[in-house]
Amino acid sequence: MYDVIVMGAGLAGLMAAAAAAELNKKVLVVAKGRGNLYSASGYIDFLGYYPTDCRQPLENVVEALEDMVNDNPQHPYALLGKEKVDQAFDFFLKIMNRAGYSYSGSWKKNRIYPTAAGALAPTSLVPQRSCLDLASYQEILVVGFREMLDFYPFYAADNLREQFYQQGEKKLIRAAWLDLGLSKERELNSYDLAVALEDEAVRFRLAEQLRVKVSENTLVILPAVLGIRKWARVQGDLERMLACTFLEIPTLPPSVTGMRLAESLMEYLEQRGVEFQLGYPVTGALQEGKKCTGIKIETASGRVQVKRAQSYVLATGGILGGGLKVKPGGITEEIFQIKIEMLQEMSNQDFFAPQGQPLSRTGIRVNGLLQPVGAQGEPLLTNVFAAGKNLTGYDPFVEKSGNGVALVSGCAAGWLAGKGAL
Amino acid sequence: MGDNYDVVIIGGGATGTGIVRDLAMRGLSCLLVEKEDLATGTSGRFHGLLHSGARYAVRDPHSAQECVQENRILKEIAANCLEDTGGYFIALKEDDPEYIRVWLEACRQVGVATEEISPSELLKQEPVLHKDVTKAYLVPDAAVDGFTLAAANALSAEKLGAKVKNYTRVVGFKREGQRITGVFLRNAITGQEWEVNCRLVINAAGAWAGQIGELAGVNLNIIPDKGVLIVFNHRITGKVLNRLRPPGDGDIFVPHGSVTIFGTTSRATHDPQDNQATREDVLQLLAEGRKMIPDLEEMRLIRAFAGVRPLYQASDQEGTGRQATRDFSLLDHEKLDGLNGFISVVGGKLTTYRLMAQAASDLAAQKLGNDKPCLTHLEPLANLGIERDKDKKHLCQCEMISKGMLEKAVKGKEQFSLSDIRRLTRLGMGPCQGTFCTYRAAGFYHELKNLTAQEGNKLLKEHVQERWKGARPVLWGGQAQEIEINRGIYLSLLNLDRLDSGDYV
Repeated sequence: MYDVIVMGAGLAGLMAAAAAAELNKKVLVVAKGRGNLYSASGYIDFLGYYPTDCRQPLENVVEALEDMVNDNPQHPYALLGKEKVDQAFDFFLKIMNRAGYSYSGSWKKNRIYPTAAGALAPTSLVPQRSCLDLASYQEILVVGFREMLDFYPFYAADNLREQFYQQGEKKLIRAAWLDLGLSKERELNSYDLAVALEDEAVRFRLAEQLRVKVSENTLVILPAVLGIRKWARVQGDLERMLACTFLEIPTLPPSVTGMRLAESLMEYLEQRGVEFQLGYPVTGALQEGKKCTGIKIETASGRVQVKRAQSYVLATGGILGGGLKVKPGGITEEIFQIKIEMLQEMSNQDFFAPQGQPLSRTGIRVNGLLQPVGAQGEPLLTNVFAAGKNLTGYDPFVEKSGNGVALVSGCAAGWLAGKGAL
Repeated sequence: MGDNYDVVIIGGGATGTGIVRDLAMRGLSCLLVEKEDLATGTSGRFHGLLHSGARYAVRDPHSAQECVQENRILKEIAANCLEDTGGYFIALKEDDPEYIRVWLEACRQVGVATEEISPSELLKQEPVLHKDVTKAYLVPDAAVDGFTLAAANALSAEKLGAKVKNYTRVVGFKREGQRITGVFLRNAITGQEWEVNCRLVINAAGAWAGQIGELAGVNLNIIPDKGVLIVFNHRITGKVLNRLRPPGDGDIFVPHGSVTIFGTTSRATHDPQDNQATREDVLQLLAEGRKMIPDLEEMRLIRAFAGVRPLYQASDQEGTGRQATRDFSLLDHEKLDGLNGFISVVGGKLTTYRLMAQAASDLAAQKLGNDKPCLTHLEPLANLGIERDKDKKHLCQCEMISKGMLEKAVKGKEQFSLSDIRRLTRLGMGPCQGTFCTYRAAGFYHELKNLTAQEGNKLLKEHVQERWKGARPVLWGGQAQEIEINRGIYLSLLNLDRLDSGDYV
């Protein structure tokens, strides 16, 4: 018997587990696989653009949040309020510090970082290692690796140059390919390269090729490949050898920055006594009235295990993570069989429509306690708290709020579940 | 004023490119103009079936006979553009047994080779099929790629000195009295206009032939008929699968590369550009297809698209839709309308494109006093040279496409989109539908072709938007999830929506 069972191991699920564990609760995390963090950027975007059709990143985020609470009361931020946002961000910074993978920044102020396409994009929190002010560097070198097909330094550099030029900033921005001679057999992804760079000899080769191209004033921008578990060693070594600054950019999946966040967080949670059962899907729930009394997990042998807790957090990732199933006739949350309202038109003609896509906005309706509610607003379940991409009312992709909502609603769900278990 | 050609051909589909090859082989100087890229119309928007003739044997024996002949010829001359899968015709319990007898007899009459296979043997080979198959026959159907077929025909012609211009729109005709003496052209991208002189114009614009006719002042009764197709993310069967019953909706499955194309529907439309499939079309097709493959709705759909059949009626009395003939017609406007120097070739279907081209070229050659015979059935098409290389680093992993292949596909192209590249290489056509390779290809071409940041962004955004168009009618199951991943990458991770790409749509 647990106090809290968390379903899902993405950022929302892990934060819920952390919040409940902080209340000294006995917590179990179950998930069908590794969460979405492994393909996410590892940056925490709170709110990049609001309204979503503005071209420039938000300057005054606090004010925009107030507008959003008025305009869209179903938005998870509106349901939870500014105080919970503050608490959640503080809590995240605190536990990541304890976990040995510190983050910097604040949800109240957007910082500007380049993306893998070279777009200047707003974000709130970044790993401490990546914390720097882009504007203060006059000389930038964008570096790609010949063996890796997921990053194009000349393309990214051209876009960066173009945007800085538009802003009236003159910078020297160059691009270069390096060839570490790692594989002729197949293309490597960022994970492969990160593993390879944990080897000192490979690191040395990288430094040798870069040495002639950089000075101590150079900011070297490169895809996030500088080590997985040994990132501190890899990055420290390179900075010592070359005396310049490195900035890693999150890449297409698999994402090394997301992986570092997920693994340090999970390691920390294990130390705090949180149990994990990964690899098997939750196939259903036992219910008495509006109370969940257990969840069913299908194991490899095909046997069904029942796990019980006082409260449950549902952080199964929405349509993106597979927690919500879309069928031609309707959308269902599969564990509790919650029916989701399906709109006549699930998509806009324009992929890039600034108002976003109804599909991405679709999810479970909840009240301020994150309990799933029915059409009249009545709670459907009293001891189940939903979080993250499962929630309706926001399109993370146009707002740039994905990890922010996961963090805030995950924490809140963990607290609510933990307190309910008193 | 302007260049001089013997013949200007309008339309870069299978028929138009077939004609330019045919005429070039007869030694005539030709220019082919296409308003978009080659095979962007109906030649690239169909099920990709090279008919054996079996489908039309009962109702349209003349058309079926042509299919029998052309099927054999194309397997010889266009082997690189097709996969000789073979095909099945299967009858289910609910299908009329009398029709099977009639069909077998008709196949025998027109010369389609059929071979019976027992339902139990069939199920061994294709276990996904419905258990209630009562009869099954093997026929020489095959899968054909309309994009590379048109490109190979065009390249064959270019090697003989013909000119092929894509993104070139016909905006008017030069006339001297009742004779067409040239065409006014406009570059669809730059807007630049120019004119060329010619002795003859051939209208092979398919679904757009009526509009071209109008420009020339003649009336063509083209009946645009929309057919919707859906694409599954794997090969469901090894061979083409047909339902053994009178042709209807949702009764053809064609294995294509790494995917399966299933269709079609038949509905009158007014607009040859009407190529958007709807969710209702898709659901209707699935309901029909489930009868042959019970688990169809569990399989992952990756996109839906539509093509417009350019059916032609000489008079208003003939049928429409499935009833209209699949035969083609050659229209000599000198005889029909008193307009010299202008002929149209309309109707037909992809399997018989070469024969249509031959008929049009025979008439053109005769009018121009050229007595060379048609040779297109004897010589293989030119090799596009984009075949797989030894490079194992794949920029598009679903379809195993290397940088070298992308480099060859863009050779000689001044203006191109990733869609143009996709049609030649299958880039982004596989299960991930471009989620990973669109960004990679844009980055690769940006550097290779010295593009500006804005041009690179445009390349990328256009292709993301194009793939989105096909995914919208099938936003459920695994595809809904894939689209969320796709949006996560292009909007959240790359912030592509905020990058400048000029006016990309």
